[in-house]
Amino acid sequence: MPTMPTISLGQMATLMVLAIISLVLMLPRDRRVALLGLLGCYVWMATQMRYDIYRPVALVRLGLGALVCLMLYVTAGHVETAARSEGRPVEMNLVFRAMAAVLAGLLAWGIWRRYPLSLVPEGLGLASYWLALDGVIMILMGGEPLAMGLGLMALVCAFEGVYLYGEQGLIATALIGVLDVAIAMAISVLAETGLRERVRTARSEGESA
Amino acid sequence: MIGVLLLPLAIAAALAPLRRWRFVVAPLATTAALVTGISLLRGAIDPLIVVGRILELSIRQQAGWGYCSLLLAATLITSYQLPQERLHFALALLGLSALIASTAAGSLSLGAILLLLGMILCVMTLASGAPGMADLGMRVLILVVVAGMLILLGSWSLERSLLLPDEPGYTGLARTTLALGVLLALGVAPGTLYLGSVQAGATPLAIILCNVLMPAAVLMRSGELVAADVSGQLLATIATLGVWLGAATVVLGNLGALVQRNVGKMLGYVSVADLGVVMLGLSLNSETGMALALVHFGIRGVALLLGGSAAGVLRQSYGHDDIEALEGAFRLAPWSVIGVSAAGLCLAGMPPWGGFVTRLSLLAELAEAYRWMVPWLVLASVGGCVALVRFGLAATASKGETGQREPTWYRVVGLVLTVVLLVTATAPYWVSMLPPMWQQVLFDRMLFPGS
Repeated sequence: MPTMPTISLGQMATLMVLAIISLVLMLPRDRRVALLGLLGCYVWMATQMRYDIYRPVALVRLGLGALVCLMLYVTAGHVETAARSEGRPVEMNLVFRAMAAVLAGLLAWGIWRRYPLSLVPEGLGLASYWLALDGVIMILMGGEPLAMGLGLMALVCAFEGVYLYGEQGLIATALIGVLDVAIAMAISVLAETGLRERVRTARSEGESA
Repeated sequence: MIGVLLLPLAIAAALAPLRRWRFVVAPLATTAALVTGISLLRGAIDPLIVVGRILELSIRQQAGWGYCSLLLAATLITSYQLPQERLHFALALLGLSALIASTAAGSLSLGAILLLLGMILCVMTLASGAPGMADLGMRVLILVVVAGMLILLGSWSLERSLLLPDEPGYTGLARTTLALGVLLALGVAPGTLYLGSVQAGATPLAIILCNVLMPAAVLMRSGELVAADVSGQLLATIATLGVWLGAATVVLGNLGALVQRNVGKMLGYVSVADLGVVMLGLSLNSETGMALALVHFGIRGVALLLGGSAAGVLRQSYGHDDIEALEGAFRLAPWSVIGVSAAGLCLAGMPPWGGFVTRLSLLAELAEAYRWMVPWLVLASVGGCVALVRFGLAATASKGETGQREPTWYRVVGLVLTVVLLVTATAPYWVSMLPPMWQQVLFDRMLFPGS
């Protein structure tokens, strides 16, 4: 007779933390609030890193995560201001996004039980699956560059969590940090360009009307 | 090596505060790319050791990056009159430096990280402000980051499999992720659809960075990875997948070109189809196939520069590059029309352009292993040609006169690039007709005098 899988106390705590991060990342319409979820990803991943010799490296990674979020926050501010002034575009409603977040969690749990990442601790493995799925769903649902970019950052954060657990070289860690900043910069540039393009189109449509 | 890597970085840093003065920025960036290219072609470069990690280029890699640097220099100087973000000049140099470093890195993982960094810098130049480019650029960024992560995971697994040969899981993981990552990063099917559309609003600089420099870096990195895989399984996987996906890219690219009503997109899809031909040549796993594919790749770079700049001038003169609205464009912008046609025909593999010579030889080589595939590939190429004929008919129609006359500087640039593209068709014959001694002098002494 099939039995329900048992969940330990540690797993329960991990699930709770990941659920909160996932909901903060996916539910808010305001991208600035969603960035708190991304910051949560970086904090969680930093706590899961294994640095036997260079413990401060985890703090540096956390600092870089905060820098990335700050860069994206500035862009999100511009995007939100423009969205308010021109009337917010139609987005998927709150219930749909909540269902997508729950689906991502259930899917991540199922995949993690079926294919656990044997090289990394349980918490990191589950978090990576969950955040990666959150990222993929956000990319698919995102209608504009910044929303897709936040999904991409969540996906990258999940991948880097697992990668940096296996590869602990300082040069690799430093280059991964540079990579994070470069991706965030690319997202900001593309989102700001998209914004300028929208404003220009709206202005020309207004003039012709 | 330190000069080759640091010069573009230093000039890129200097360009940021100078970006208001285009007439300073463009020549400086061009000079940096030119000097980097000449330094790479002058002779063997000493390896560099940074924090215990070696950075070294082989003679072939030097030749490849020398060519790419010179092509970038030509792009920077020939297209600087076209509208584009001035920060892109600095981004192009940063990208060049990161991509050269990725090829030179001895460590497989570090090389993969640098490759991803370079590709991200290249993709940033797609933010041109043209309608829809921000969304398209973001999709390409996602594609590139996913491909880069797969290559990084594969490189790390390959390193582990070499360190721990008794652990069986790493080899399989490396083979799968690397094959997928490399093919995705090269832009073969199914990534084709995005890369074809990107050229609709991209500047010539972005086209060269994303369609020539990025694939060149991926190919050179793949060469290092294949050499590191002692089992040879990675090469076999990439070769098997490469033949099928290369053929699919040729077919999909040409079908994509057939339905386009926009010059930039049409050239984009024809060039994607052409990349499929390069992929086929590389996947044949023979010396001849490899050499032909590399020459074809080189000619493709010149054709993309000509086509990209010609489409850019048409956009500047007419405000857009929709084929229907370019009726009679030949009278106002003759060299732009000739440029688009020449580049398109070269990319579609039509005589008398260089693309025809190498494509014919490649298809003959392919016929030995996959005879049934060749007629289908030739038939698919008709799609690109039909699109080009449609453009030619519209451009030479009797009505028109709605745009501005093409700028004088482009008449010179268009003429020079068209002649260069024409010469590429005959260059292989000239070289092969030379006595062996002179061939040796040309390649060993002139190209690499110090080696």
